[in-house]
Amino acid sequence: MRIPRERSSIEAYPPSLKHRLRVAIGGLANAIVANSPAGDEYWRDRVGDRVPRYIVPNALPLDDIAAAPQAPVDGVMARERESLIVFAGRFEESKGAEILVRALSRLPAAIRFRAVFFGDGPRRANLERVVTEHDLGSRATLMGYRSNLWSVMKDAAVLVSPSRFEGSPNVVLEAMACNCPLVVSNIRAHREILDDRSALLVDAGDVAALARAIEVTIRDAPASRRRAAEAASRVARHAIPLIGQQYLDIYREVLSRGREHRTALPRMVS
Amino acid sequence: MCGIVGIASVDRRLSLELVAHMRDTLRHRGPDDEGAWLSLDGRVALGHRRLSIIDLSAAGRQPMVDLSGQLQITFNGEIYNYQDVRRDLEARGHTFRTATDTEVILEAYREWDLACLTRLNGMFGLALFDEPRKRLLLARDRAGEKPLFYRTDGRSLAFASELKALFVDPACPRALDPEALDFYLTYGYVPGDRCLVRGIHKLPQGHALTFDLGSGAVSVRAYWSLPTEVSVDALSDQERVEELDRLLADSVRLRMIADVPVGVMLSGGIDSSLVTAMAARVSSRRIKTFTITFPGHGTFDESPYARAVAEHFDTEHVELAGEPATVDLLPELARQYDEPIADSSMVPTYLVSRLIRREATVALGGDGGDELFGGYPHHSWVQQQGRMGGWIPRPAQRAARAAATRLMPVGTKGRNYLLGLTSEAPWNIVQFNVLFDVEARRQLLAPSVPAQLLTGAPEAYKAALCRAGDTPLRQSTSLDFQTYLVDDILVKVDRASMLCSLEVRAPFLDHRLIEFAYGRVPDRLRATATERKILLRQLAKRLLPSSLDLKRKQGFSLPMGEWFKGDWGRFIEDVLTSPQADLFDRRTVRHLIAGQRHGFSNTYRLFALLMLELWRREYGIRNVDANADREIFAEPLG
Repeated sequence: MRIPRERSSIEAYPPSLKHRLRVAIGGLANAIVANSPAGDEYWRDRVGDRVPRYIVPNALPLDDIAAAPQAPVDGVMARERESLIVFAGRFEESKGAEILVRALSRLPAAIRFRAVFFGDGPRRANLERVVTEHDLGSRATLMGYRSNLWSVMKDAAVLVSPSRFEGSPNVVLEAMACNCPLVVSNIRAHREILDDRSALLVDAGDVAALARAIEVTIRDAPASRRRAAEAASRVARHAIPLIGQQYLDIYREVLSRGREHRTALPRMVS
Repeated sequence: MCGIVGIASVDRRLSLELVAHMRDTLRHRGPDDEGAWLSLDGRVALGHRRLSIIDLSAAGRQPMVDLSGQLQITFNGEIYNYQDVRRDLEARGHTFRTATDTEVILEAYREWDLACLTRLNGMFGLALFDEPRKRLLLARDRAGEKPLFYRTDGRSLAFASELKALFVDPACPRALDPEALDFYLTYGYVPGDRCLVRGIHKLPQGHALTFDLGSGAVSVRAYWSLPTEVSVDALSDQERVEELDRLLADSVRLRMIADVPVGVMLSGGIDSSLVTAMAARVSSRRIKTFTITFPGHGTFDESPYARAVAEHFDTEHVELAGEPATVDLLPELARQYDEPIADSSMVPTYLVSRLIRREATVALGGDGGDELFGGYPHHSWVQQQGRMGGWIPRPAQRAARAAATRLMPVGTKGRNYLLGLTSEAPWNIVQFNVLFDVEARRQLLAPSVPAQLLTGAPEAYKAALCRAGDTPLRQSTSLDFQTYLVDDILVKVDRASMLCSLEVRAPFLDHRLIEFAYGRVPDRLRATATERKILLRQLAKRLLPSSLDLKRKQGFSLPMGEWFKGDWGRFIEDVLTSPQADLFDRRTVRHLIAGQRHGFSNTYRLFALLMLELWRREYGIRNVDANADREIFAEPLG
C-alpha cells in the first residue's frame, strides 16, 4: 500500500528531473493525501482522477500547546511595555523575513517593540545586513532555529508571516493555537486557514501595508485579541485524535476499495 | 430607540426603495416616524425608524444631516451624557439646531473624528456617512446593548439593527452557517461577530467599522475594551461601597432623563431592587415599577419580593399575572429574535415589556449586575474548583472526565460541573454553561452536518478569550461580559422590548460602572467559593429592606419544567419530530424528549432546538450545505 503525503504546493517544485520522478511515483500510489487544497490541486493536475486523492490538514498537539506556559524569549531582555514581534521560518527569500525588517523600520517611534527572528537558512547573512542597514540592531534579534515556540508565541503581541508562498504553514497554525495575534501575507495558503476576522492579511511584498498592519495589531490590542480567539477556534479541527481518525478512515477506505475503484473522485476530508 | 438600516457601495447606484423596504421591516422598533436618505451620487442610502424619547419634535427626524451638509447619520439608542458633550462642543464653537443627542454625535464626530465614540456614555448602534472622506462609519456601544448586523461583498456593505431587514434584499443569503450552528448548539447563542446566517456578521461590542467607498476596504477596530487589570488603590471596602453607590446613582440619574414616562422593571432580585432604590432617590416624582407574577409556581413567583421593595420605596407598583403563556407566542418570538437565542426568559421579558409599554415608553432594568459583580453560580464554582481541582491528580481528572462524558447522559444534573471540575483552566470555565458538548452535537446533527465541522471550535473560542494570567474569576466574569451578556442577555432584552416599542435602559452598563467593576473591585469583593456579588450586597444592606432575602437568584424566569408537561411539551415535540425538522437526528431528539420526561434537565436544550427550528421555518433558512460558500455572493448587494 502506497499513500504518499503532499505537504507543499506547486511553488515548491521547480521543473527538474527529481520533480518528474516524484510525479511518476505519485502516479503509482494507491492514494495521495495532501494537507491543503493547493497541494491537492498540484496532484489533480498531474494524476487527475487516476489516483484517489484526499485532503487532511496537519495535526497539532493541542493539549501540549495548551499546557505550555507563557514565557519571555530566553536571552532577550525585553523592556517594559515593549511589544514582542515574532517571525519563525527558514531564512530564504520566499519567507519574507527581509520584508518584515523593512516594515519594522517604518513603524512609528511610538510603537516600542522587540522583534525576534527564529530560524536559519541561506539568507541569514543577508538578513543580518538588512537589520544593520535599517539600524534595528538593538530591537531585532536573530535567534537561530528552535523547535518549540509555543511559550514565546503566547507572550507575543504579534506573529508575522510575510511569505510569498506556503504549503500548510505549521508556524501559523501553532500561533493560532497559542492565541497569538497574526499578520500574514494574503496568499492562498494563509487564506485557506485565516480571513480578516481572524488575522490581518496584507499583500505579499507590500512593506508599507505590512508596517500598518503590525502597528494596528499592536495599538488595537482588544480587536487583535478577538481575532486571535477566532483563529484559535479554527484550529480545534487540527487535534491529533481527529486527524488520526481521518487517516484511519482513509486507510480503511483504500484497503476496502482495492485498485479497481481508483477512479473515484477526490474527497475533501476536511 | 429606533431601527436603522443602510447600504453603501463603491460603484453601484442604490435604490431608495430597497432601503425604505428594509427600514419598514423594523417598524416595531420605531413606530413614531420614518426617514430615508440617498446620496447625490446614489452610492449611499440610509434609513431610520424612530421611537421618540428625547426632543419629540420633527427636528429629531433621521437620517439627520449636520450643519455643514457633509455628514449624515442614522442612529439607534441614547446618549445619556449628551448635554455634557454638547456644552463642551458649544465651548469649542459648535452650534446646534435641535435638542437631540443625534445632533450631538454629528458635531462630536466633526470635532474629534472616531475618537468621539470614547466620549459618548450611552447605548447605540449608529451609521455615519462622511461625504468628504467617502467613508461610512458603523459603531456599537461598549457593552453591545444595541444590535448591528452587516454584510459585505468587498464592493458594498449593507447594515441593519435586525437581521430581518437584511433579508429584504433578495440577494441576501438564507443559508445556515455550520460553524455558527456549532456555536449555537454549544451555548444557546452565537457569540462574537458570527451569525447563524452565512455571510452576515455582527459588529462586536465596543467596536467601530469603517467602509471606504473608494476601495471597498472594511476595517473593524475596538475603541473600548474591559480593563485588563485591577488597579491597586487605597480605598477601604466601605469607601468602595460608597463609590459604587455614587456611580450607580449617577448612572440611574442619567438614565431617568427622557421626555416620556420612565418606569423600572422590578423582578425582586438585588440588581433591579438597587436600581429601584436609586431611581427613587434621584427622582423628584413617585416612580413606577413593574413586575410579572407566576401565581402557583412557588419558587418562580418573585412578586412578594418585588412588592416588598416597591412598598419600601413607595413606588407606583403594577403586577402582571404571567401564567401561562400560550404556545402561540413562540413562533412570534422566533420571528422577532431573528437570530435565535435559547433563553426562555425571553417570554417573561416580552410579557413584562408589553405591560410596561401601556404605561411607559422607557424602563430601567437590572441587566449587567451579574456579569460585573460576580452573580452567577458558576462564579462561585470557579472559585471552588480552583481549590478542589488542585487536589485531584491529573490522571484521575482525565479518567473522571472521560467517564462523565461517556456514562452521564446529556441533561444529567451535575454533569457540566463534574466536567468543569476535571478540566484544566480555562477549559473548566468554558464548560459550565455548555448545552451540548462536542460528542452530543455530533449525535444531534450527524445526518445533516459533516462530523469534521464539529470539532470543539466553540469551546476553543471561549478558552482563547480567557486572558492568560487572569484569576479564574476574572476570566469567567470577563468571558460572560464578552459573550453571554452581549449575545444572549442583551439580545433578549432588546428584541423583546423593541417588539413592544419599549426602550429598556441598563444602569449597570454605564461604562464608568463597568470600568469600576472590572478595574477596581478585587475578586474577594465580587465572588468567593461561598458568596456572590459581595460588594453589591454590601450596598444592598444599606439601601434595601432588611426583610429582603439578598441571597436569592431568580430574575424574570419561567416555570419551564412545569409548562413542558402541558401544551408547551406537546408543541415542542410536534415541531422537533416533524419531517420539516431535518436538521436534527430524530432518534437523538426523541431521546432528549424521553429523558426530559424521566427527570433529566433537557428543557433548555429542547427550547434551544425549538427556537432554532421555528426561526428556520419563519425565515426559510436553508439547511447546512457544505458547498454553499460559492453561492453567497453570486448576486451583488443592493
